[in-house]
Amino acid sequence: MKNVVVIGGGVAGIQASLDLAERGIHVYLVEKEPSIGGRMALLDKTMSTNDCSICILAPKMNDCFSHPNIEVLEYSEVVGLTGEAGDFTVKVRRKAKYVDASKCTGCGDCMEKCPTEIPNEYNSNLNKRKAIYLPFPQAVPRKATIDEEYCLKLTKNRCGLCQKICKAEAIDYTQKDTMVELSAAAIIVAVGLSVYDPRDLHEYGYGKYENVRTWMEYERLINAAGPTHGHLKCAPDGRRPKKIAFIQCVGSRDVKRCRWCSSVCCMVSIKSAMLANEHYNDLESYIFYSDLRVFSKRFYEYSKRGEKDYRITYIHARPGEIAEDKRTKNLTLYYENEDEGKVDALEVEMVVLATPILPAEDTVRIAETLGLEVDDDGFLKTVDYLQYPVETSKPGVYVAGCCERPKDITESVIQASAAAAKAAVLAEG
Amino acid sequence: MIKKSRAYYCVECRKCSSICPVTRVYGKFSPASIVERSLVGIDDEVLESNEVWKCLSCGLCHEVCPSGVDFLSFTREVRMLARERGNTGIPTHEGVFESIEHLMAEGEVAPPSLEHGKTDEDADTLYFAGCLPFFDTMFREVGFNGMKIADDVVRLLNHYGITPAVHYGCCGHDALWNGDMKLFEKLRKKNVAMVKERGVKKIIFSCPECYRTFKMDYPEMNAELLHISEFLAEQKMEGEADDREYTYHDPCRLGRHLGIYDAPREVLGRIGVEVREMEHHHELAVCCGTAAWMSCDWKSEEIRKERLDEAEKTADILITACPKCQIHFKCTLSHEKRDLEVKDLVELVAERIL
Amino acid sequence: MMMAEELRIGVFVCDCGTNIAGFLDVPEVCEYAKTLPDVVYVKENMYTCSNAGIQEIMDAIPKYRLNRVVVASCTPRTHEPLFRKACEDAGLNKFLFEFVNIRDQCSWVHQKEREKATEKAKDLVRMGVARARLLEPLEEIEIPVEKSSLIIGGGVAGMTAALSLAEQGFEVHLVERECTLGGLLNGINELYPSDRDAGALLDEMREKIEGEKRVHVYLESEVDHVDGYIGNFSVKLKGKSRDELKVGTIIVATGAQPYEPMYMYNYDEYENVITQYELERMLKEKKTGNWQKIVFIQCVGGRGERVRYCSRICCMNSIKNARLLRKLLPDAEIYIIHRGMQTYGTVYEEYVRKAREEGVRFVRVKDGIPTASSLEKRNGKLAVGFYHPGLRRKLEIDADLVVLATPLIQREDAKRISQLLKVPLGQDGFFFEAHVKLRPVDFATDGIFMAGSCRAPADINECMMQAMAAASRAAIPMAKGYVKTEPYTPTIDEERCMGCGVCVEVCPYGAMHLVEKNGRRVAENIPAACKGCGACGSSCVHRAISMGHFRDEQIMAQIDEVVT
Repeated sequence: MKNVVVIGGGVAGIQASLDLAERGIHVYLVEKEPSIGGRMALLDKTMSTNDCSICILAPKMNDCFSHPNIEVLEYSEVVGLTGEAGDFTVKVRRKAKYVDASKCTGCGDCMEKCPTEIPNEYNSNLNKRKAIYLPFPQAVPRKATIDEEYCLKLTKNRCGLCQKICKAEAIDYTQKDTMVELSAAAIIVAVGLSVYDPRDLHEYGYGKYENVRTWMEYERLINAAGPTHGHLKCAPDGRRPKKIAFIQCVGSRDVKRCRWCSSVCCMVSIKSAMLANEHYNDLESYIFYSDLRVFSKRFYEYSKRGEKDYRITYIHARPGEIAEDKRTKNLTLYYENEDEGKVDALEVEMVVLATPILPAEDTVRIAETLGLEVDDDGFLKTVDYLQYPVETSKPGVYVAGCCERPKDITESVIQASAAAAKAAVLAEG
Repeated sequence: MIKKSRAYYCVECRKCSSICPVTRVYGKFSPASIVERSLVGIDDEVLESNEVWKCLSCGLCHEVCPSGVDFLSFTREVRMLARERGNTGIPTHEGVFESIEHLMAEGEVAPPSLEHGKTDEDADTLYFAGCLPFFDTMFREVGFNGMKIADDVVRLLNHYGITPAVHYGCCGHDALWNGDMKLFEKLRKKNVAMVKERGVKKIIFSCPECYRTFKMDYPEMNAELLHISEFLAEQKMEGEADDREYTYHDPCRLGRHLGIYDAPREVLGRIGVEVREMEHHHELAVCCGTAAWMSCDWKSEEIRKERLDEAEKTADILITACPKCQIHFKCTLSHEKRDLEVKDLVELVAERIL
Repeated sequence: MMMAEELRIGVFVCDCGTNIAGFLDVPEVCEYAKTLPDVVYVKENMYTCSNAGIQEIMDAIPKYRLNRVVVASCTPRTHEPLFRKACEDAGLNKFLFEFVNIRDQCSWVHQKEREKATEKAKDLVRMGVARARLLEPLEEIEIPVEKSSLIIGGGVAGMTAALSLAEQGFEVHLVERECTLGGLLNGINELYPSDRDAGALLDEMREKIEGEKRVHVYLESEVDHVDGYIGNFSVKLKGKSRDELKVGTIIVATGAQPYEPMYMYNYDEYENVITQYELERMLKEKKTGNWQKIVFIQCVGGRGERVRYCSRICCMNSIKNARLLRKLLPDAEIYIIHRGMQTYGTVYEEYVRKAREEGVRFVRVKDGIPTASSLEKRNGKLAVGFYHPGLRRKLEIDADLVVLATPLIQREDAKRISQLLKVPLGQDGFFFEAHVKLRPVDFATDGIFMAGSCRAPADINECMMQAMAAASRAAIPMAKGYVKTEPYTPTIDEERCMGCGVCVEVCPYGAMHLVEKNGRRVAENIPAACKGCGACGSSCVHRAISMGHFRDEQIMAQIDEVVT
């Protein structure tokens, strides 16, 4: 029995790893962040059932980490590949965490004391984290990592507070990156997604108007573990919104930006609007769409439920622009009201932009390292869309999740299991 | 007409109508509806309506259209077809400019003399001054002085060591945008021949409409073409800030049509003017309200007032880089007292450095 | 409960750095624990979960002859497996371990109430110790799994699943009701997005199946009866084949059928009003007419009309056929009237752009009302009326051909399959998965899976992906060769059991059934199928069912400690 290397520890990578490990195949799960969990770990609720995302994912993350057949290589990057299907050698750089993982208990004392604060990318940069950190409270493994770019000790040889405070004596400033070579019969690539920055759509004022948010920021704002502990707050005075507008296709289905449809955003906005209304039951939401894409199992019904029970109004229009009231920071959306044939203005306290899913930043690098083809949009290409849904251009390398094309959790999980079926044949063969 | 403008890509999202300055004040005009009607095959209604003449061709719709529908070509195409059916719209100023265009297609304009600028009819560099002398006769009363702009352009060129040839005449912009292809073709051929005959290598424009037309609608034009702001942005100059506040209005042709946003701002910066941006600027700048001397009515006035409101809130002086924008703004200012002065970029630069 | 041995309980209290020790008095909790009956050893650890902490547990078990271990620390969510393993490694049955949560549920929520938090921690430890006294060792039994699979339905999903399982080395029994494999695909002309010939794909797949000796195909046959549980299903077929099969797993891939739009848009009256599937056949048989205007009407019967859901694949299907007709009839005008095109993703969005480029016209109407408002025969044409929301008026297109895009609906015999396998159908009539996000092709019942349009409308790409996923899931127990039974199974007090069957009804996993014993019907648990959820135990009105590890007396003992 041979190994399988799974690259990317989001829900797709986790699912593929568990499917393989459960049947007795040894898996190396390589994750570039200090924790597995990927994008799903940062979402608040999942659409169509409104399950708490991390609550349903955390058990899988733990199963994965504690599984005797899975070795998680977190904070690691694939940097080389040799060999062929059935007999690959994957070169991985394990980045120095400057923390001895065998000693660290994840207690958090070091993070308490660390004086260096930097924008917290796990909270969409809406608050700060320390230079020694856990990406999020439910991180797996629950081991601290020192950010070498910002740590005072590592950059300026000052401070050293974390070492002093750590009762487990886990801090090791002398740690170095190490290289490991993993043998694998097959590889599953599940490196996930990134999200479009809508700053260049000046008409919506993202980055200029404080109360214009992206959907990913909204996920963190409405999340109890997020920077506002789940309270929606609007500039300038932190009041909670009474009206929120969601704009669909901001940068997607757009020939100048992302041509594709991201598949999930319509449902994400409906879900987000429902959550807002669950938090504050007089809250009204307006979803501006061009085609409401609610095609999967129980999605259409969900969209109707939003309208009926959660004060959601669907408006067919892409607003032309948003204006901000300088004093109240309220936002006015201008859109053509097609029922009346005139441009209407709608004033709200918050606008959430449904920006498209892009391939993850390092998809191209991974594709080059592994020798895979990418499509015109930058996603990893399968041999044939119709018939070979998980096979990449390189035999023995399979793909799952959003790195292949935008998809929701359900479809990522399905594709991950499908990829596992293919990888298992090579590993067991 | 659907094909040329890629209107078939329209996903009916209606973002164009949501941002259109005309729709904003007059809901019955909607670029989305015009496209949609042609997509369901009811062109006749469009071609016979007055609606086709309402578009300002300002290009905001095209700017934000996610599907890349070129509503500008669409409008031109539609107007051509409408004209064929005798639907010619309502030109402004009783059509006097249309008549002038026709005259210019036939004969030459005797060049008026400039007050200070030195010119040389055999020079390599041509300043294409367009219709400025004609505008003066019409718009002196609102405080517009086109020949002063022409003179300032030439003086600035002189300052930087160029003694240009100057040509006055119609580029055909308005004919083209009003669907009068016959007239446009005449003017185009005439201008192309003129440039060839003069053998100039470089042409400078102070009017963005002429500039756009030469650059985008004269496929055979191979001289180097520059707007005066682009020319100035490459020159050394300095100036000092005064205590007045300035803002800059992006003309549709110079901005959205040609993508020139930085050069005028760069020039203003160098002469010590800190540009305070209006609410709408760069690619989202709002039109002065009228284009191609077509359909100037209360809707245009409304749009213009909104733009002037923005300017007034932002600054004391509104700088434009298009004589027509200046005319339109000054027209409104002539019957509406506002704490705002309108000036052309070249006028200000000339004042500061000459 | 008989307790032969003397109870010797060890209690380990964790500081969790300052996470616990910073907000409550851990030494005081330790001192208190020492006073509790049967507690023979108490230890405070800075981090019980560190290597040092684990070693202390493992050393203490033999040294102090501990036969129960209690750890008071963070949360069982992340740490229970670790401490259980420490007990097991030290020779103690891991179910004799008890977790007391004094961080997530105590120190973290009472950060400003040190004294109260300390008292609460004491209460929680006392409760844990009380429960620990009554814990019993439990065993997980391994049950062998038959390395073969039954696939019900020989459409594209069933065939793909069969090929995938065979490729993975398992025997497959593929049962198809019709006389040929292929299901709905048999009636399809071309496939999007590659415009590949459906017949060619089917031929290729059939050929692969024929060449695969591990796949046994049963045509014109149906499943008659299924018995057993994961790893050990016995299946009886009916129809052409009456074989009896022994399989370890089952995949349901029974597909779906197109809705027949009777009485809608005069479908049953007008000749040139046809369904998408009729058009497919015409195109396949190259029997197209000389149509000048063709109108596709989307969502006929779908999205709240005859069925509530969106059928997902109809938009792409219409675009595909519109493009094809555009090629066949270059002069024809083709309109698709829709309620929002569902062309999701990268490839489909590009596909619809191509269709637009090629001249297929799209007309969007409002959702929530019938797509077209009228259809009448007039001057030999079919006048299709619809309300154009952007133009705010009713328009008409005089068509020669009207194609109705109807939804896929569940097959009529799904109910029978559902009863046969004791697996549920959802409100929409489609098979209901164990978890919509994380277990999309699993049934809640172990060993049974689903793929394709019997789950929800799906296109070829999606059917294939789901089929491979189901094959991966089904392969797990078969590759492993065994399943471990859940340790927390119910015990049935046969004296008390009245054989009422409520537990059978409520069990979501098909793990309870009624059997004859000593002349009466009593409930019996099937450990291999049981997930230990406790639904049976809590619903038994006669208190005949007691859940392992969560026995009434264990829970009551805990409660008694706080209320008395």
